[in-house]
Amino acid sequence: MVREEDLRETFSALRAGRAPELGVTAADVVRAGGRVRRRRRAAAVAGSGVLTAAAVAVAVFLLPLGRGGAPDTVGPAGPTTETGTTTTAPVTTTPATTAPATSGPATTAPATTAPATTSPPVPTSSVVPLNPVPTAPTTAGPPPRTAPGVETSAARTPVNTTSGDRGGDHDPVTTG
Amino acid sequence: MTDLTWDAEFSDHFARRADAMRFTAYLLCGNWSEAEDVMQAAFLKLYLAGPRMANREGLDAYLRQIVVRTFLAERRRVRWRRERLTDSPPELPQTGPSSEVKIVLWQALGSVPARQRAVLVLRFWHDLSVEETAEALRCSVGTVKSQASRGLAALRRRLGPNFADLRMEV
Repeated sequence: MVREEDLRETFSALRAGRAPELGVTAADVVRAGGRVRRRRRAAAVAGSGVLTAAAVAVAVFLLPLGRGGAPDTVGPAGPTTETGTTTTAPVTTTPATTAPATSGPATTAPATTAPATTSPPVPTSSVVPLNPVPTAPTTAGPPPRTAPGVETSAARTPVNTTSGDRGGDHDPVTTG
Repeated sequence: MTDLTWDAEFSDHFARRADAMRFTAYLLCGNWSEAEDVMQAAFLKLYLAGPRMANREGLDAYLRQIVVRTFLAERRRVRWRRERLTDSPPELPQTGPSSEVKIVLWQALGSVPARQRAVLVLRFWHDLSVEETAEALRCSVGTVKSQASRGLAALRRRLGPNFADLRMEV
């Protein structure tokens, strides 16, 4: 049976025994500690430098994208007419929309883009009460409101490309 | 605290406590060379942590804690190569009166798992209470009790029933 006293006696006997010389001095430990500190400091400096460079690189890559987001919304109005990826399909539909616009200028043209300029009765409010009345607003209403914002501009620009104008804002001027 | 002040204080503390800490490490490791490595690593950690220490009252306890934890971390790291083949015989303790019992006990202690051995050393060499041992090992009081009990049981298993007869002979 092992007793706690046996352990204590064993430990005490070991302590009383002869031990080899200590091979390490305080100066060695201090020197090693200085090396570790220098290494840590260098690692911290290098790490912060790398992080800063990474942050700058990310900012450089992200800023043009963030800044380019706004021009993309404005710019496509011009260039997309030339690319024509979306204009090919709408070309068939837009003449249909423009045709009613020519036939019924008061109803369709105001409903699409510039209702406030042409029709003295306010466009949206005028559409709502007119809903029950004819079928013409219902047919002309849905196409211009959903997608045609681009389509009409794309369809009109070819018409107006002769004048070299672009942008939907000038459409009322050209139509008017 | 300036670095020079801390360096002087550290050197003084090293001169006073290095031998005792190495012996604690020896009780844990079982050989002097590994004990010196553990002691050196522990003093290095103390030296690096010293300038950040607000209270240096319990420096000895802190150092003992570092020694034990360094030993356990080292054992955890080299568990897969704990038994090494060597061409030299294992170190034997310096013998005194009734040395046979102590040699047998010491060799049996070497077979006890590291954590249980650490508990036995802290409890029966440093005479720490269960709570202090738990704090040093960063574990619960119940764990210390169970580890001490298992460590003693492992020693008994290792020594066998003849150990009592051997002790009686001495």
